Amino acid sequence: MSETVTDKGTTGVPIELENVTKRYSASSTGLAAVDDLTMSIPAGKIVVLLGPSGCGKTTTMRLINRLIEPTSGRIMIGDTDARAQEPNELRRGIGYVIQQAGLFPHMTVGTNISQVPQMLGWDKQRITTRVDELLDLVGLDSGQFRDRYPRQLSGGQQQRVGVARALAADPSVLLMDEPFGALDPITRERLQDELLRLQEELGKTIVFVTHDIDEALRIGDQIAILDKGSRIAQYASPAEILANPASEYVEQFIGSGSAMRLLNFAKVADVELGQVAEVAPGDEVTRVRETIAGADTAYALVVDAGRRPTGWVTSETIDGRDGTAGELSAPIETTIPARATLQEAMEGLLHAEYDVVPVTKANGEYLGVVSLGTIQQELSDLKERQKARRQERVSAGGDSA
Amino acid sequence: MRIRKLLPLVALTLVPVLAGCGLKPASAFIPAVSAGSIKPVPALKGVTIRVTSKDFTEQLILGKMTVQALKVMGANVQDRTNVQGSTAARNSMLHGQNDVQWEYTGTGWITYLGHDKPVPDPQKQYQVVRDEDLKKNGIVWLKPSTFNNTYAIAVTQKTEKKYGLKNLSDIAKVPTAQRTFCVETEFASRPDGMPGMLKAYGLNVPQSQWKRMGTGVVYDTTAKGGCTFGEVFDTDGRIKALNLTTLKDDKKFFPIYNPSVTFRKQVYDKAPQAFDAAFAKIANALNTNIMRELNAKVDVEGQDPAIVAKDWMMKEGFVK
Amino acid sequence: MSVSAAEARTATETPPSLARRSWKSVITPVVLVLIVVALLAYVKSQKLDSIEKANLGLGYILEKTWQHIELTVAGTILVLIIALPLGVILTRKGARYASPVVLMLANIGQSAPAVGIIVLFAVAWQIGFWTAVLALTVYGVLPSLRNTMVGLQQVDPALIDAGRGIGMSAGGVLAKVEIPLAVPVILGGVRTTLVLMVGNAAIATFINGGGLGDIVVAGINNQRPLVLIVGSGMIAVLALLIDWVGGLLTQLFSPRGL
Repeated sequence: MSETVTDKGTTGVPIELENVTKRYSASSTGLAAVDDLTMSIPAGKIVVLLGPSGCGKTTTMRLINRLIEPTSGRIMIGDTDARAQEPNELRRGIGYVIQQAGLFPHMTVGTNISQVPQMLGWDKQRITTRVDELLDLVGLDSGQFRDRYPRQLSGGQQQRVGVARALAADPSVLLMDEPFGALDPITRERLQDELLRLQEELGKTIVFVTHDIDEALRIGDQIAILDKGSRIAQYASPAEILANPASEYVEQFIGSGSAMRLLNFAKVADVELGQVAEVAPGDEVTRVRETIAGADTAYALVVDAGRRPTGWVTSETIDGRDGTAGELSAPIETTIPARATLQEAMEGLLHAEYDVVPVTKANGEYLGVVSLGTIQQELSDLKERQKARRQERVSAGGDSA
Repeated sequence: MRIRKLLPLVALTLVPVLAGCGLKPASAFIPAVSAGSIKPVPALKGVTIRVTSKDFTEQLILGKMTVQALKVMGANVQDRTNVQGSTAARNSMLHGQNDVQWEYTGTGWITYLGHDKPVPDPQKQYQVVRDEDLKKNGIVWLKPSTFNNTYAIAVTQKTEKKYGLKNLSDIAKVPTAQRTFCVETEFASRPDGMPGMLKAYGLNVPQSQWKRMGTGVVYDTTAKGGCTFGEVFDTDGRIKALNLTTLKDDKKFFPIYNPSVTFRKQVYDKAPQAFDAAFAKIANALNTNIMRELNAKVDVEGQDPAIVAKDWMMKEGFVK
Repeated sequence: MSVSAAEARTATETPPSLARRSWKSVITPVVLVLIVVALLAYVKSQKLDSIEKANLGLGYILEKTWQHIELTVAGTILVLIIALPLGVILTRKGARYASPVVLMLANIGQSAPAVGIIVLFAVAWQIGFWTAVLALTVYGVLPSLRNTMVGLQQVDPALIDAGRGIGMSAGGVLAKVEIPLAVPVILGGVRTTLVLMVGNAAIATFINGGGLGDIVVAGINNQRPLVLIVGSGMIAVLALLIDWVGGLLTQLFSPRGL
């Protein structure tokens, strides 16, 4: 499988489903569990398959690692046809996490995790090192947990081990079937956060099945809302789905409160960010004055060579002073991460020292600024779009769900 | 799990019952018979008489004959034949649980009355048993039949020719290592059985060559060559059917076993002459050959003892 | 990001170690040995007639007891050879149709009178130890077979799915997941088989198979209650002893963590 390296340094590969069908009855006109599904799962992303029970989402996921064989169609994992490989070998290269973890109760945590590496013939030392590494990765102290048995672990701990086991042989694809469904809401949220953190570090291609809209919105890079026969009702980013639901079915699925949800789940990175004047830390004060005067605002952001924001300079702070921008700038007290929700952005804005706040990526890189105005604009856009959509539907005489 | 633990004990209790069944039919059904030369006796009308017997074929046939004869004589008969072990039936009579049984004179003398030495003359043997058992235990012995159902040692005709065997003394001609015996467990333990016989004839047979098994299995195994010698009964029908021959008891070790009807005195006294007459008819009509034939009908042809008894008694005209 | 203290506190306790059970488990065999000693001492103290002497010599009793154990162990091993693979086969997807038929045969084996079966075998084949073992096997195969099947069927299907999903072959799942998890139930069935065998091995006496049945039947046929008591008493003690051994084996071979 070829690897695609994104800016996160991912190890994931893309997955292509082409006209995939799974039919259980003998006749070709019977109901299909998966009906002619074509879908592209980009490398290094978390794609959520979301739908009610019986819609075929779990079946679709299990077609990828051939726990279920497709009736027709093609599934490409990376640049290899899934059917070209021996099924057991294929599955050893794909991580698999199920609800309630499925840990083997008669094996210790360490032994559970080392199952796939053992099958692949790794030597003992390499396996031991890897087990410790993985326990650390999922937030469990290896000394304490390696020799425990699953029944001595809480549900949340068990699922962490389940994820560790799935990652043991460093697969490029991870399949997760409602992995947090059996956990209490607090543990569930904690583990969702852990998954996002892991993903930032590892960049796997993750196919995540759930029936919980909030979970999908929280962790999905892309969400495929599925109907019976695994038919795609909408396949888009969470923000897009919230902002522009494609049909009444999707709307019903999201439920009421979509506007507030949007604030909760739309990411700052998804809205149009404002820009402010920029100066480099080494710029002389005269240059700074020029830049400020040239911009509409009374301030400028000091951004260093690594595109990191280091401070604010205002006309006040440089008035009558000498030096570089870096020396004269006031430190930034608040930044908002790109993956923060609009809700969190609003919180940040309310507590910030100025009415704009810089937005940074995980590695600190500056993207733009957000202000209450940005958010206001976003909300009014949303209103407009909803109005337009409703009118469209009425004129089309109602649409199919 | 507790029930499982009791199972071996339950199985043990069932062993005697089931072993008694073995390969023999154990029906307690009484076929319909009516008077022939054995006639109804008014004194016995409504009298309950319980007939018992040991568990081997000859005893079953004799027991069924008794049941049917008593029925024809008008008594209220209970068929409680087919009891495991040679002394259980006798004990049930002594304890008043049963009333009549065919027994063998030698068994009575040695096993029940506790004498060590049998009486060689059949008539005398009967008389001493009759007198002593009546005095000591209140058991009446009727006139016996003449056939002798004693223990015998059987060999295949091949073995007979190979070693030139005619008498039990000839066993000495067989090398010790070839002296394998198929025996019943009882015969192996009884003083008038294997231990006594070997002593009387001065024969050395190591314990490892005593093969204990159920009665029916002895005949089959001896015939197939599983052991050189088999402990059999002289009137058993399978001897002829399996082409076995018996060796002569030249030292006259084994006691005489003439069969005789034994009654508890209280029951006998209800119609003594009638009993004497009826059972004398039967005893006189039986001999070794006839008994072997009747036994063979059950053991070899697989007929039911009750039917065999009835057919024979009808042929003799005792019943219709 | 290590686990929070709260999560650590919710982890459950380690299961009790085997050591804690040891003093209790030794009591059974000790008591049984004492019973045997008492029984034999009583026999020695009695005046025995020739028949009793023939059947109650210490060497004779020990010889018969050893034969009885041999019958039981040989029969059980044969049962395992048949029941375990058969139980695995009958729980695989393809063979579901065959299982009612096979179970019916095993049922017949157990419910048909064992004495009849053993004599039939002796007449059809030959007398002796191995014929008796064969008859015992036919009798005792049902609990082991049934428990093997039940043990495998009660394995959580989610675990089998997890095994296949991470890339184990069907054989791999069977060996690494299904069988280890089925072992406690299977051993329970083996334990039952062992106890049934001990009780039933008494019937070997009818075809020269040896064992304590020789003493029991001698006691019955010759109306010697003491002989009968010693014979059946030894069988009962053996049954309890073997049951204890079965319990020990179950503890030893059940995987930890269950």
